[in-house]
Amino acid sequence: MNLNAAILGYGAYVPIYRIRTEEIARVWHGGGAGPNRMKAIASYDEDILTMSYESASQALSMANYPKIQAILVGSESKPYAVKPTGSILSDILGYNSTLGVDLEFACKAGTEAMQLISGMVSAGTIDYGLAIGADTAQGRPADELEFTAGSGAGAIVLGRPNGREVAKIKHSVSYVTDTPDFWRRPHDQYPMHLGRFTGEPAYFTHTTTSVKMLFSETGMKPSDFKYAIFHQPNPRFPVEVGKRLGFTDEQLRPALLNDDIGNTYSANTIIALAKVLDMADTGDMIMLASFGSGAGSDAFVIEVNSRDDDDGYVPFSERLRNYREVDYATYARWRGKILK
Amino acid sequence: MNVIPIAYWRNRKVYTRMIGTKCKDCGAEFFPPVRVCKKCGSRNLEEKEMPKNGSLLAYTKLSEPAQEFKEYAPIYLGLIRLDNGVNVISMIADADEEKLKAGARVQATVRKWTEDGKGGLVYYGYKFRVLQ
Ligand SMILES: [Zn+2]
Repeated sequence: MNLNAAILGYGAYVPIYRIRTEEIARVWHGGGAGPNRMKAIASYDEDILTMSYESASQALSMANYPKIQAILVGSESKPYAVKPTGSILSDILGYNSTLGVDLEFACKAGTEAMQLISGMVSAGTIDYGLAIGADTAQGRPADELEFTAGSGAGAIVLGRPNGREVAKIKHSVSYVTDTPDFWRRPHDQYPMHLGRFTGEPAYFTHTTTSVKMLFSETGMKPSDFKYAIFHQPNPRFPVEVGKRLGFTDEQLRPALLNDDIGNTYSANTIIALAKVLDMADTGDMIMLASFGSGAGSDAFVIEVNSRDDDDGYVPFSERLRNYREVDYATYARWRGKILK
Repeated sequence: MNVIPIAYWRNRKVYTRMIGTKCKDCGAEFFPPVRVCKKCGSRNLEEKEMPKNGSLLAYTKLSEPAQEFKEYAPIYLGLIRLDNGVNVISMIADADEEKLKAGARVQATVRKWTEDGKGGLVYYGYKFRVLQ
């Protein structure tokens, strides 16, 4: 779909704590490491509401606090099964005359929020909206997902282009099918997945299909973009899917984050977009494709305009350099993995 | 669990957004909010959101905190002077004793205070963290 939406502000938040995958492997596998070096973990007093607040505060500050009329939060780790995170957040941020909705689609719930609000502002039904993707991803102890399941939140303030926007969202497509690669039933604490099945029929098929749809609808090709951002469930997949579609290392590398923070699920591609927007220049084109198990992919064409940094603005990559490592016992205690 | 959901709900703007009061007669600001100005005795007060930045004056470490915080021990409590001069006592988020020095710049965020078991409400509120 053609869109006439603009990113007016963005924010990315990753908790300060990391656990090395060597530490997880030491406890469960007698040594070794996961596909990534570390993953970010939320502290005992953090959840998707607090992390959403952090990322939204950054995005709203960059956008100069416009009158938000929709708050959409994508997540699979909501504090309540019934009671919207969007409404709690609206109160804390001080916007009550707003739609407050929670979305779920495994790792692509955040880009769904982005796509829905882009559609609303393009259609003129609202002037400004806040799209958030946030997760404290759950990995069953000793499961291979435990190496990568991380925590983080990304937020984007959207409106219509006004000449002072950070970037324009020009086009978006989605592709979804019923694919049983990964799921969680209502009362289960941890998700189930079909191991190797998560690669070809799920991640690669849906991502390549949505990106090819995007190319076909817009007439664009990989060389038209300065940056390409793909969902990062591990360090390898985004590079491999990018290469298959014809993107180069130079286009793919700036967005990569999985090695340092793991897979932040619904926050994954929004955080990567924040990292890329921090370094992008006026006129740069960005291709972004998310992936969510179950399964589907949303793809976007984004054109960078400019950004007036506050004096105090610290780029996301710089903030990531400040972290503290914790051991498995601390992680298990904080993330509720110890029975009391 | 000692938190009463309705009392928390009534005060949620105080706990999450740090809404205090400002005296319309003498300009004094208060947090938590007051009904009567402690400086000039006026009842002519308005709501005022407190600044989220300040400096740490002192802190203490609680190894045996109250029941609803027990599983989070140790808890660090800071005495903070906000940039408008108002003093606040707050839990410190992501506390690192090496960085908890008098004069350290701190900023408010929202964190989970406690939760009422697995099925009850989650209570959120301000905590301050040391700026890097
Ligand atoms: Zn007064």
